[in-house]
Parts: sequence; structure tokens; C-alpha cells
Amino acid sequence: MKGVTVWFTGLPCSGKTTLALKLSGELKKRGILCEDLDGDVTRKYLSKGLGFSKEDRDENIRRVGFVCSLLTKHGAVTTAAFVSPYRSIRAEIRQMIGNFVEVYVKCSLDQCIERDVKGMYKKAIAGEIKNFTGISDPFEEPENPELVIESDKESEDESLKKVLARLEELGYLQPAGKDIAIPAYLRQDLVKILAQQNFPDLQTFVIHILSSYAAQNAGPADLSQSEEDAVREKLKKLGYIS
Amino acid sequence: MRSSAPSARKLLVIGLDGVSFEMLAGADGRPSLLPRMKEFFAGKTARMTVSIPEISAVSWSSFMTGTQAGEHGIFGFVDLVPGTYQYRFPDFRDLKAEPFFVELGRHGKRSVIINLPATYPARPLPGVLVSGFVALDLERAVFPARYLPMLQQAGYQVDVDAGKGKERKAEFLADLHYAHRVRKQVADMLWLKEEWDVFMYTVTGTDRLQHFLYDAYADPGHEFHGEFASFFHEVDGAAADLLERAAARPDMDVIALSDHGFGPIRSEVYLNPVLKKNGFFLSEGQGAKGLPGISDRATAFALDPSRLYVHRRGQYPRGGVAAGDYEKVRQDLKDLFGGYEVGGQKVVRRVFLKEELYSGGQMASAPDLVLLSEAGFDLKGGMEKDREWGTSHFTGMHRQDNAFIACSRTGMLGAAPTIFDAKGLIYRLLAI
Repeated sequence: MKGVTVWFTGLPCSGKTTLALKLSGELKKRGILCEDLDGDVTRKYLSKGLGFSKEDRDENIRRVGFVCSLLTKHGAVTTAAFVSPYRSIRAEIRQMIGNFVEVYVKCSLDQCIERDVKGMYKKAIAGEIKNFTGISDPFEEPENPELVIESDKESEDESLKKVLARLEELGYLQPAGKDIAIPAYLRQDLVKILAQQNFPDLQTFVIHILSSYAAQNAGPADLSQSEEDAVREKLKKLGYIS
Repeated sequence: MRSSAPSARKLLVIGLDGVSFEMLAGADGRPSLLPRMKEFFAGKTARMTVSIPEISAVSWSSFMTGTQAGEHGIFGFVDLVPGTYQYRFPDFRDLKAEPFFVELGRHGKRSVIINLPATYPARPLPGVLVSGFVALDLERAVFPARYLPMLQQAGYQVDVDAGKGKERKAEFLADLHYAHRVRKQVADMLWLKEEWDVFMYTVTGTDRLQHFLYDAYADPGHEFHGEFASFFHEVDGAAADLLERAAARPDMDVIALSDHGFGPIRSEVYLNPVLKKNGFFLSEGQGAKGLPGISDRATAFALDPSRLYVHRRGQYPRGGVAAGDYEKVRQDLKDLFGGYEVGGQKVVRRVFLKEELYSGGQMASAPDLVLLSEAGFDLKGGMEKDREWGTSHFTGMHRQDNAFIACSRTGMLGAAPTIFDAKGLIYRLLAI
């Protein structure tokens, strides 16, 4: 799979991080290299000291965008869950990253307030938190996101399916079942073996291993009806059975 | 071919399905169809007898394992599911003895085996296997799988459509040429690319051609007489190319052999109708068809091509022959076929009791009797036939007594070689 940043944007408590983590969980199950970034982490390690003014918010997103661009360049799938309320900075990082999928996690303000277990909306409404998106600071809705998720109208599983389907549609993800999940530690050894033994690609190698296994462990001949018909026809044509 | 230890012996095996000793050596005023091979093996070629019945599945299984069917378990192209009247088609997974190319791995030897019948589906071996007849699907006919893309790209065909041999003979011949050329290209590539000790190249088009056009071989005025010789000429060229390469290698020996011979058909003889007429095979009632319709009063039935089974109680769902009557039924069958004639000609050269042909762990699956026909009488089960004998579009038939074997080293073949000896010869040539 080629690297891509899946950027989740939306109001606080709209469900961005939940969906991003569900996505990365699914991708890891499929053996795909994946990294999660969200506001809580980056504000602690990457953007410590930055506040919530428009300039500081843009700077935070710019730094996150830079990290995403590096991860994407090296083939990782990065899920980034950030309010990122301003269109201009989202456009800037889209350009910086290249393989960029913008997912707008849309949710009504009432629903976001209801989900807010930390009581941040309450404090913002009371004026205790300044520049709070949705209350005292604007959220500029994406104009052309790759995907819109209506998290107040659909289940988490439905949303995940939509994200996966969109990634498949955009060519970033193979449909499940067609891709073989191989842990990274094995992958490195396999790459060496492939080179030494002249296998053209990983798929051929895996088929080789599986066919050996099947041949060694298959019981006596058990032909399907269509195989049996094909054998019968070949034998009849040569007069070997009558 | 990559380099290997200088002392190690190498072996090239050329398999020519259905090619008779006469076709190689020339006979009855007809020249050899394979003159370059004949010259290469001058004075080192012998007539060879093969398995009974003389069909590829059984004979090549005997070749590769050095055993008879009582040990390797392949008695024919078709068998019955034990305890039923249901047909099944044994394949490579049913082979109970170890083929030489698997066994050689224990001696550190690698083999490349191309188009050997009775090796489908392909299974792991030290080396490369491209299965032959009755291969269905190329994907399952190749080991290791890494060669599959190369074979697909080359247009490799596991088989030609033999159905064309009946009415579209020109197309059939073109298909045979094409399939063979691609196969030879694949062989050339594997010869170079693989590290091997044994390289086996098998041609099956020689058998297909003779089934439908043996009359063209025999008759210089036949429309396809020249075409018949032309295909053999191409095979001879391919074989000669491999032989020349082998000759340039002082460490390499060569064997060439067929799995059975061939001859013209005088008449097909249908064994089940013969059994019906003589009261051995009875159907349950009107409308009952084939083996599933067999009556509990029936004492015997036949499976293709020449195998007879006593309808024993306890062995078959409606079997009625008690253990005490088994030998009597066998004797009656022996008497019937021993004296059976068509047009005043004796049809069966010899009736074999199973213990005369087979021994070993697979005896329980063996037919009770097997017939060896006189030249020209092509024995078939003919379950659906309403007559005892007749002719069809087939003009050539297998023969058990005129296969051939040739060896590049003198004095290796013995006085009366059989297909069962070939594996031992391979081991002697490899100094194992």
C-alpha cells in the first residue's frame, strides 16, 4: 500500500479520534503500517506552548502536517484527527502532503455538546474557554472533502466502512481478502528470501508456500464435480473411457 | 544450467508417449520416423514391455516409481469409490509409491520434470514439475509456483483439445505443433535457468496423433500422411537438440523411452456387452443403465480398458458372488475371454489373474482379472454399447509389447527390458 494521510476534521467531540482509531485498528489487522496523530499527543510533544489563537492553531496544524508528510513519503498510513477549523491551513497541508484524504466528520452542535464528557462546551458557553470552535470561534466546513461522515446519523461501523470504501476507491487500499497481512518483522526476512530465490514478487512466493502446504496436506484425490466432468471429457475424447 | 560438483552424473530423460519400437527403428519397409534419435542411440535401443493395462496413467506411474500397480495404486484412468458404483478419477495424490524425482531429493539431486503424465496436480519436489495428462489447470500443474507467470506468458498449454482429432484434423495437427513448440521453449528455458541432476522432457502429442491418425502413418496415400511424419520430424528435431547438448557434456547420460507402443485397430471390443451376452452382467430391470443399474444377480463387470471385476458380496452394494464362488467366477471369465473370437480371430492373448500381475499394499483395489489383447483388438468397457465389437473414428491403439527404451551408455538395458526396470536404470546411471 502506498502512503497516505487520512485527515479527519470536524467540531470538537464530533467523533474524529474514535473513527481514526477504528480505521488504524482495521488497517493494522490487515498488516498495514499505520500511525495515529491527534491533538492531545501533538499538543504535548510537538506544539507545546502554542495556544488557540488562529496563528497558533495554524502553526500547530502546519507542524502536524509536516510530520504527516514525512510518514506518508515513507509509505505509512497516517490518521490525523484534528479540529483544524480553517480552510486555508487545510489547503496548505494538503499541498505539502500530497497523498491526502480529507474526511469531514460532520455532527450537529447539539450532539457534540451532548457527547462532551469533559464539559468543554459548557465552559466555552460560560465564557471560561476562549476561542472555542463552534462556540466562540468559527469552523469553516470543507468545500470539497474526499468524504463526509455524518457521525450523528450513522453508526461507527457504518462510518468505518465508508472510509475504507473511499480509500479503496481512491486506490490507497486493496479490498480486504485480496491483500495478505504479513507482519513487518516477517516481511523483512521474506524480502531477503525473495531476492535470493528469484521469486518475482511476494504474491508468487506466498502462492508457492501455500501450494506446497496444500499439496503436502491434501488428502486423496477429491475432485469437484466440474473437475471430474473435465477429466471425464478429456478421457472420453481419447477413448480411454467409454 | 548452473555449475555443480564435477563428479556428479547428470541425466537427460526423453519420454515419447506411445512411440513404438518400430517407429523409432523403422520396420516393414518404413523408415524411422525419428532418424536423428535413431542415429544417436544406434545399437543401444531395445523393444520394451510395459504395464498391463498398457495405458499412460499406469505405465508412467510404474516408470516413475519402479513398481507395479499393486504397489503404486494406479490401476487405470478410472476406478470405483470403494463400496459404491460411483466412478472416480485417480490422480497424482493417489500414487502410493514414491516417484524417483522426489526420492532423489534425499540424495541431494534436483530434477526438472516436464509434461510427465499422471503427475497432476503438481506437488513439491526438489526441482521443478510441470504436470502432464490429465492436467486440468495450469495453476495447479506447476511447482514451484514462481514459474507460473513464465509459463502463462509463453502460452504453455497443459494439453491440446483432443476432440478436434475426430473431425477437425488439420486444426488438431496445428494445435499439436504449437503446444509442442511452446513446451520445447519452456524446456530450453528451464534447462538453462535451473540447477538440475535429472532433466525429463516428455512429448504426449505422439500418442494423440496416433489415436486419430494411425491410418495416415500406415497409408502413404492418406491425406495426412505427410502431416503425420511432419509432427514426428519436429519431435525428432527437438529431441536431437537436447541430445546434442547432452553429448557435449561428458558427465551426462541419456535415456529415451515410451510408456507403451502403438498399432492399428482392427476392431474395438466392448467387454460389458460381452459379459451381458454371456450372462455375467445383468441389469436390475428395464431402464436401469450402466454400472449403477447392475443387478444383484450379476457376477462380473468391466472397467476401461480391460479390467474385470467379480461382483463380490460385501465389496459392492448389490454384489452377490459369495467368497466360495469367487474362484469359479474367475475361471468362467478366464474361459470366456480366453476363447473369445471376433471374425474368427482370437481377441485375447492372455487373461491374467490379479495375483499374476500385482502384489503389494494396494491389492485390495486391484481388478480381479485383466485382459491383454491380441494386436489390433482394442478392448474397452463399453458399458453403454449395444454390440460386442465395432469400429469408431479411432484408428490407432496402445500396445503393451512394442514400446522402446534407449540408453546412451552401452550394455545397460538387459535382455528384455520392462518399464519397471527404468527407475533402476536411472539410479545406476546417476551412480546411486
